[in-house]
Amino acid sequence: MTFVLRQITRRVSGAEIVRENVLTTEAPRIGRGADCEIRLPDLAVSLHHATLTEAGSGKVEVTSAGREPFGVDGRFVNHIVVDVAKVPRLVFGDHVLTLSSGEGGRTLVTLTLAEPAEGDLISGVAAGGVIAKARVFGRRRIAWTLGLGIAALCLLWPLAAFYGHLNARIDADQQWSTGPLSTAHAFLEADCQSCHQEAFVAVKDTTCKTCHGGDRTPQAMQASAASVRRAGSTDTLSFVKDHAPRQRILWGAPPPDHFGGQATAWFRRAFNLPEQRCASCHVEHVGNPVAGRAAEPEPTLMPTQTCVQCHAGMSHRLTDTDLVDTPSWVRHPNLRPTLPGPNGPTRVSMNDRPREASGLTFPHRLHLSPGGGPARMAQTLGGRGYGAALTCANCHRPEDKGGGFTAVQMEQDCGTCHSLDFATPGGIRQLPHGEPAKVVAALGGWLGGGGPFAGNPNANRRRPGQIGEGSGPSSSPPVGAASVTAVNGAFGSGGACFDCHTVLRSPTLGIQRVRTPTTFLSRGAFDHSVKEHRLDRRGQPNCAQCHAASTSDKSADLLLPSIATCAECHGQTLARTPAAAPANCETCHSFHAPSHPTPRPPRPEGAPRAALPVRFQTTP
Amino acid sequence: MAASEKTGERSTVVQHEGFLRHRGFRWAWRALALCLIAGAGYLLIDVQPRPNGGSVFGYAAGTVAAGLVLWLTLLGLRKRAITSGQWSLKAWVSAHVYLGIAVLVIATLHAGFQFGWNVHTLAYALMVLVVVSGLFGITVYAILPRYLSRNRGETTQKQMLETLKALDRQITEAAQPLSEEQASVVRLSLDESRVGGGLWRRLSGGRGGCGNRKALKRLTGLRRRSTDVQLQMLDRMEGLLQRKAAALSQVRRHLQIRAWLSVWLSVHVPATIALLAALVAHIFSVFIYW
Repeated sequence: MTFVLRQITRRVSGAEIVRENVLTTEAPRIGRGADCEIRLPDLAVSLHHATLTEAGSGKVEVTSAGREPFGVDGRFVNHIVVDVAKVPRLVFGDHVLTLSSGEGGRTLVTLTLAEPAEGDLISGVAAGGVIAKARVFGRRRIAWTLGLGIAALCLLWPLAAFYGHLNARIDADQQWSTGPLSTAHAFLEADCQSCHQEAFVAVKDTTCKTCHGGDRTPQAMQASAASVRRAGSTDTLSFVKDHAPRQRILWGAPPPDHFGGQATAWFRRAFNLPEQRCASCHVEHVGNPVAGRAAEPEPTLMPTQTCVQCHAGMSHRLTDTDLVDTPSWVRHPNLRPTLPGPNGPTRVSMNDRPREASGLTFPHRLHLSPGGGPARMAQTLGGRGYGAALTCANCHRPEDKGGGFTAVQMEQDCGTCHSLDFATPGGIRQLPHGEPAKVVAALGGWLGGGGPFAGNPNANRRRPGQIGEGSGPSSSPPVGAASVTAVNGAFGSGGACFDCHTVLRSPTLGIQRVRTPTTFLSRGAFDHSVKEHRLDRRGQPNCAQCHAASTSDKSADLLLPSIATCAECHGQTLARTPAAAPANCETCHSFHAPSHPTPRPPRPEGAPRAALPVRFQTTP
Repeated sequence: MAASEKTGERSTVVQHEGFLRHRGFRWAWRALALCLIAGAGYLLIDVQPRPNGGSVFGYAAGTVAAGLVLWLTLLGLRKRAITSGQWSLKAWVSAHVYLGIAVLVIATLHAGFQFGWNVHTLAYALMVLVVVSGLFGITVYAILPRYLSRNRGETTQKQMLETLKALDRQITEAAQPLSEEQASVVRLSLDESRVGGGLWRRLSGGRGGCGNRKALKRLTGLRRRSTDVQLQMLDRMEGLLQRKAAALSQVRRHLQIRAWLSVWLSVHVPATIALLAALVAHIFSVFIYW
């Protein structure tokens, strides 16, 4: 058998060059060695790799010279007999020998170079000389992945949750929180929409009042308290009222007078952030736990205006207000107690020396004079809380809670000296107090002859302080002479009732209504429970410092002090008085309840009073 | 026309001025002024209860910072647009660098040093990453080019690769008479001497598992079992492999320096896109929960 080596090479233009070489040997050797008939310049091929020999008609035997195998149609073998008619492919390294039948019984050995797979490198360098780059870390791929990932996780996902398209356990919008809520609102941390109810709309007052509204029915407020407890709140829900209707606050507040304020106002208008909302002053999300700061106990208070800013010149902005302009503590108007007037309760300035019409006839001096009859009587009473001259505390009892006094009750506060006992034939009886008609009836019953109201079922429904209408004692005297004498004695000059009350004779016998208000100040409050307000430096009651009761000779004297008395301590410096106290508006006027002082946390007896932040203080 | 009028005049010697020194640090001064204004505003405006992004100053600083971030991002477009006129790319890059540093200051003051586990701090962290990677880029741009030049000598990258290919051809030819064992050693050099590759391989110089180095080592062992004729061939082969080792070292060093010169962009650019997304989420979330 004759072997013909056929080599095919390609030109740059793509055309093939075919060279044929008839091998002179019967058994051509395949290898890298120079002595091989079929030379393959491939280091993967041995110097003498294999030998081709005839193996019968149309068959060729291929035998490895050494241990290195060769490939035949995808297999690696050391010896094989192949059928030339089947055009077998022998692979040596990168070279392929294809056997086929040629003319004249020759066997064609076609030598080709295996096509390199795309991307195969020589020394790691691609054919074009371009260095292979890492594809995993492509900038665009990372950029798109990160950008779209963040947009999906931080924007679209919470947005879907906000609009209720998701019902996931994870609160996707919590990542939008700019800071932790205060402890009081911490239970709402995972429920952003409890406050942020509308997109792009600032938190509204109605949202806050859903829980905190103080102008609702007690049942509604109790329901709110129960609701927040169920939601996990550990705080006591506070109920507050508006300082004034919001529109009036907006009108009453002055426009900003400096650039910063004007810029803020412009910014708030431009970005739909209305002023004078609950959230304008009570600010949330300002904590910074990363910096190690503990959460605020309640929303941070950031007043947008001081009291003085609005109340200075407010009468020009709110022309219908009855409030007096208060530009500073020094120019605070005098106290204006609310007194009965011809057109109903009226506030009268202490500058106008208002008179009181309590209905009682005795002056305070009568009881407080150390040499007077009441003092002597108290001395003789001895161990029932008396034994010395009378003091204020013998008649006026402070409230259990709060800084005021309870209304004087005759039986309890006066009865020790002013006995209502009445000797009757049947023994000592107790005259009723407060209802003259009952006194008359009782005397009639005890002394015989009944009374003017005997048998009259409506007698008990008359207004107290009046004895019937058109059927008084003058027109219808008691039947029994003894009872008439007793009634005249009680209501007449020197009688038990006459000592204290103004007895009305016309048109009917009656008692002028007694008015014992527990407070005179309707737009502010004086806290009698403050230690400095009730005791002097020696620990003795200091009522007289404000109330000139011991020198009051008339029952109509209104024993309230002037604002100047308050200014003896408030607004003073320690250099001028050891009892110096700050002159803060909220000491007497709470923002949400101007007729009450601002609530303060309780403090132990003797502890210094906690000063409120400077921003609340007004300029004296 | 002005140029033609000057023809024949002695030309003034123009010294190269990098983007950092552009026009006497014009943009550095401007950025510094911006930072000082922001710092003065932060210190002088008493924001209650504490400085935060929700105050008027906070919003003003935030708006400036967001605007700057958008403008800084536009460098990616600007550098692809060939323009003429005063807005030279060098001036733009100079402003990009210094205003980018200023953004770090302004955004920090905008945040009022308040951070938390939220989308807002994510945007801040990404901005810091972008700025820091940019600073790293400036640093390597300032330091590495001289090493790149020193390593390259007078050759180009293409020439270096051509040298490698030529050496491979010579090695292939010289290895033809070698035995199987010897040829297999030479093949290590031809097949496994990788250049380039993954990011870490490029940054580290990529010498690990170098086929050429292995071949040189094994060649020493082969010499003991070789005849004189083979020794001559192996000597020649060793010379070729040594030359290839030097060429490989140069190429790898070249690629390593180039990788360090560009790796910061692999952080800078994706982090910028991530920052833009986080910035949109940050601004949008603030206004939706107004």
